[in-house]
Amino acid sequence: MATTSTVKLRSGDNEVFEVEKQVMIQSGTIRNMIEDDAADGEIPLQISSRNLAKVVEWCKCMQHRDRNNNNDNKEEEEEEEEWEKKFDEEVSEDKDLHFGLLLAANYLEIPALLHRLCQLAADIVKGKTPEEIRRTFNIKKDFTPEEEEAVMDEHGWAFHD
Amino acid sequence: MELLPEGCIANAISFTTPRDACRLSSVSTIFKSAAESDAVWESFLPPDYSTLLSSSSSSSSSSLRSSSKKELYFSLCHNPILIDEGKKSFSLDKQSGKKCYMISARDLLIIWSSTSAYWRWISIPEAIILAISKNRFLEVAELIRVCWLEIRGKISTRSLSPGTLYTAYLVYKLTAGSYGFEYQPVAVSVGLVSGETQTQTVYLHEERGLRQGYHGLLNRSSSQASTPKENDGYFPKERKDEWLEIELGDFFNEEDVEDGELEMSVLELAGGHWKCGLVIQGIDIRPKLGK
Repeated sequence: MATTSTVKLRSGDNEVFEVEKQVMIQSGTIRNMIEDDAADGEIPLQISSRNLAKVVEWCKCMQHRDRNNNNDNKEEEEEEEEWEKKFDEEVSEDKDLHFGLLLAANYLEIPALLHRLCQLAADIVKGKTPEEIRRTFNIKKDFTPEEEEAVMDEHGWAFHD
Repeated sequence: MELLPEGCIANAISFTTPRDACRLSSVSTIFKSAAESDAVWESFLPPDYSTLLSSSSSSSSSSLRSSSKKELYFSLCHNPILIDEGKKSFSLDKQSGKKCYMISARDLLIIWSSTSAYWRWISIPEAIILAISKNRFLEVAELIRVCWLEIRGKISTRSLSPGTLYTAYLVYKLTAGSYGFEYQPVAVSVGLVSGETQTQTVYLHEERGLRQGYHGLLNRSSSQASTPKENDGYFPKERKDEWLEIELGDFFNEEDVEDGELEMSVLELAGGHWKCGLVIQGIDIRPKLGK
């Protein structure tokens, strides 16, 4: 085990983030590297500095929350809730950030963050028609007319109220 | 969004509903593939579906295990399986994936049903069951003649989906020669055995016109002042299987369920008249529509 208590993460656009190991072990990928003593130098990540900063911020908040789980500090609790609410809003309104974070959470193996982001994505698509979803996320319909007809036939019930 | 790995999309879809998943499958090829994955449909199936399948006596239940989770889901929506030695049937609500049960007449407590002068058991020939639907109960109970009508059914709250508003229905028919139900309402209730129970009065007879003008007279015998109104659950509706059903009441199954026993009852003791010609298939418990 290495002696330093921090890890250095290098973003795709070459910004270095120095973060406590205790915070980053929430990431399965980083945790494995720490356990294998492979986290001493800078860890290069294919994640933009904007997204990586957000991931680090999220991990810090969660670690802080878990550590304080046992003491009843109402003020801090409210502060954390406020932070999470702001995070949810920011992510829901910014598709690039949302999907960038999804890819990052998937790559870094942070189940709780992935869970939260998927939940937010689900809230966005719930109740929408396929056309609305395509428009929202800028997705191209890549079905042949026959394929599309087959899907609509199979799931006709889901399109009527 | 298209850059996301399929597993990630599937993960997000599993937080939606079965209905959303079906709609999402027509967005694009990768959505279709994600929306049909076992991971998604496994999350829509009740956590104990495997136990229910292995306790089923239905012949279809073994072949269901080898099908995809999506096929299994829709099969359980459209074709109920028999459980508890054929005394209950189990299915899923297509919109929500919540659990639905029908308690067969044999599994109900029907006072006087063991006395052949009052009630008789009608076996349904296997050939007919096979022709209509493979998973129907083998017997129904026909009321010959009683003054004291008392039918009770019970189910454990743990077997129901948590956080769900359920409605219970009596599923029945009236024979051509039935009488005693035209003007006489019956008292129905749903509630925990250990808790509060809401009772209301309903009519089992479907010809509503007959009752015009009788309400005032009849409700004197009932402790509640509620007057049955058209189309709000106080009168029977015809089901797809051509049986009738009448609402017995609602029950909200809490999120953190401690095991309790839910009891449903149908009583007509107040009038004291003879009643005849009621055929009972069972009591159906399913999520209230649109909830």
